[in-house]
Amino acid sequence: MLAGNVLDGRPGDRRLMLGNEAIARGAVEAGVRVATAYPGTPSSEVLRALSQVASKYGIYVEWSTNEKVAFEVAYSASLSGVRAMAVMKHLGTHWVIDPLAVAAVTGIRGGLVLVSADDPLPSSSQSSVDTRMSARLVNVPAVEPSNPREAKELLKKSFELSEASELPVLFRYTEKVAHSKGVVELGEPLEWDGRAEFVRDPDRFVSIAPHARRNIPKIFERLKKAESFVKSEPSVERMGPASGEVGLIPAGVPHLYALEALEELGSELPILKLSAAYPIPREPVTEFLESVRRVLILEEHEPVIEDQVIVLAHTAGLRTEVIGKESGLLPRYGEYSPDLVERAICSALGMDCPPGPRNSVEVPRRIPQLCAGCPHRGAYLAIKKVLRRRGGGVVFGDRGCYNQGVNPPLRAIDTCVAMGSSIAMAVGAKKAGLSDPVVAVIGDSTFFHAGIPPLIDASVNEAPIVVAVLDNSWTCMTGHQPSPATGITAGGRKTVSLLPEDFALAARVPYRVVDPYDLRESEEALEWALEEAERTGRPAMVIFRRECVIQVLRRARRTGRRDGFKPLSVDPAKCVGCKVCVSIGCPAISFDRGSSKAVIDQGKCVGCGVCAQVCPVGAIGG
Amino acid sequence: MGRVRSYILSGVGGQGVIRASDALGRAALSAGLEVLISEHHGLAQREGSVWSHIKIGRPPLSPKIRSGRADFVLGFELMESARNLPFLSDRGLMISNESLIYPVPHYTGDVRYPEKSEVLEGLRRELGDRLILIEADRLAMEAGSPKVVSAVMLGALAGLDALEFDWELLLNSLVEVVPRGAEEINRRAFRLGMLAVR
Repeated sequence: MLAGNVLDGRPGDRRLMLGNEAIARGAVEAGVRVATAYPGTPSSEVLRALSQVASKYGIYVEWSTNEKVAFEVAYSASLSGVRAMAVMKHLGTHWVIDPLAVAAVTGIRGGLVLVSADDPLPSSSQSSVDTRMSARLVNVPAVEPSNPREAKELLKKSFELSEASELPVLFRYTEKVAHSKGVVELGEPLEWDGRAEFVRDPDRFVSIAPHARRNIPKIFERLKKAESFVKSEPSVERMGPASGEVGLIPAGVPHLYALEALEELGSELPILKLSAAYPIPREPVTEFLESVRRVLILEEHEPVIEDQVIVLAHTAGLRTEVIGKESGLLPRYGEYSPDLVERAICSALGMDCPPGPRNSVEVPRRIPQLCAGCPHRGAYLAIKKVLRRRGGGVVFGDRGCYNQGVNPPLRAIDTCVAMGSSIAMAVGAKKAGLSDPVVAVIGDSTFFHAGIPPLIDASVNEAPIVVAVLDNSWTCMTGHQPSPATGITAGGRKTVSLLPEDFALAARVPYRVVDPYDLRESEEALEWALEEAERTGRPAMVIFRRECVIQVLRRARRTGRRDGFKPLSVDPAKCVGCKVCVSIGCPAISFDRGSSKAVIDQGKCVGCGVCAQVCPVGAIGG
Repeated sequence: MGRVRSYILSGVGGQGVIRASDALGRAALSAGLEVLISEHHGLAQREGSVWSHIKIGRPPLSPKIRSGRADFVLGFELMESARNLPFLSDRGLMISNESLIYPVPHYTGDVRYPEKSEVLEGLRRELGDRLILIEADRLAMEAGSPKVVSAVMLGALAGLDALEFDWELLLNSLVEVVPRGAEEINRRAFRLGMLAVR
């Protein structure tokens, strides 16, 4: 791609930036010293962008083993007096609630921001939770921007808010902000010349119960400070006429949909835009409620602001009608759209709603596949074949690219839950008394993130399961960040490369390492592991090791060496049109109806040879 | 023109939708306009649908286009063009590559995708002469590589005077975002796209 970096430039330069890049630039301008993350869509580009300029601005960046580690590294940096942030997707934020709650009890020193990317649709998550609720749960402030430009400014403000209140701040933003590119003006990076210093204060930082009992009430004094910090601009923006019948309190992306809808409808309404989601500033909100008879709250996900407004209106004895999710007008799930917001505004105004979108030329969803040459394909084909020989089995899946294995034609996995769940769920199935063979499929990055504790569980509690580690050396699903197997840090330095088998060894789990491009070898290893599990009543592991083909191809392109990637082709004289090669779900293979022969796209095929191994008549060759 | 001009770029992973959106956004920025691009990420490398909503004009710019409000749908693949039909305004233009890319489940019979003729018939019925078909695959090959379909399509957009700035800005920013060494071939593809609609 481009030379140079979008984050780098002179103050005043205008750049087209992703919301995620704007957040990274915000960190530079806020003088952040420590930034940590675990990759997760839609948050992954924040640390990627920041790592490209980290050394220039003296920022320590790391891809942490998981989100809990990421937060704790950043929390500790804050306790040492520097500004720090931890970046993750909403699912990772769940992991952080335990230490986050403690950070609220102890308070922080340097500004500490937890950047939490929510996925309301969801576009790439197995569940969809509003992480502003997590902030509410542990009583730390939550803020939310509506576009990339605001994201940068609000992130900087969040550090000030954190320091003013001594609380960590949850910076919630949604996928549409993360993956929008807007024009952002670069500001001056903050020079930080302080020295990290840990000031011992055991009554505060050793949060044993007697200390916690004394410190918990302080959270609520800190929240008051937070509320007073967010009661003016830019946390609160008042727009439109001074009063009216109907007013709007929008937050996040729905704010922009509302402005466009009002233009579309040719109407002007009083608006109180909030960037502060928790706590909301009571003073300006009360004033606003007094200026309108009815207020429509527009926020994505849960009624976080709405519920606070309802409580506020009730306790202040105001008769302003509050409409939104609680009144049943708007849903508590799904990503909002301009259409939805326009209909809600029409409804609040008592106008006819415009019709929703329709398509007279319907097209089914385009079902994604594993890439051409993806090593996971061979692993799945081997697992399916071996289980079929035994009359079936259950395959517990995990989080990563290999989720695509659920799609037709492979249909190779039976579950997908949370990071690392595959192994624990395989244990649970066996302990429930399932007699079928059980396989847990987990990628290398996911294994290091959350697979090791359940592997220990399987070993110590003696579960006869097979753990299949799909080790392709990278965290691929989220854009090819290094995993602990890669041997590269976020800053681009060489480091140790960890092997899943070393952990198997430590957990006393026998293992074999195979190449998933070799189907026979893969099947034999799986047969061995299933027999081993059956014979010993304990887990066995097969590690399918081959680097992600996308990374291999990128390197080949960079170095100009493309040997070993010779596309294969189908010999039409030999092809009998049985479609066995088509059924392995390779995007390079299609089927010509006219001739009833399989066809290999020479531009897509990388020559992994898996299709040639399944062809019953030997029609595929190089 | 109103306050904002809206574009949807759509296609299949690997066709360069995100890169083409970037080129369009950079061109608008260099023309001194405000722009917001909303990209549909994820699964792009895995043969999934890819799209972006682009608004060029004056703020406020929200990340999504309301149904029936897109001025242009620029489709790099025919089914992905059809998928975005509900966004097109009553007077909007759909500029689409005429070729279709079927996903694997079509060939295995797991999912029934429409025939090319069905899609074309539906789009013609809905759009009439507001549907502009481009032989982008053929033109890309003519330019020298099947990988420059996106440059052909951007060229077509420029050729239709669909931009509120000089088309050369778009060509320049396209050249900025393509891999080193691929500049000339992209220029050729862009010009072939322009000629195709003129």
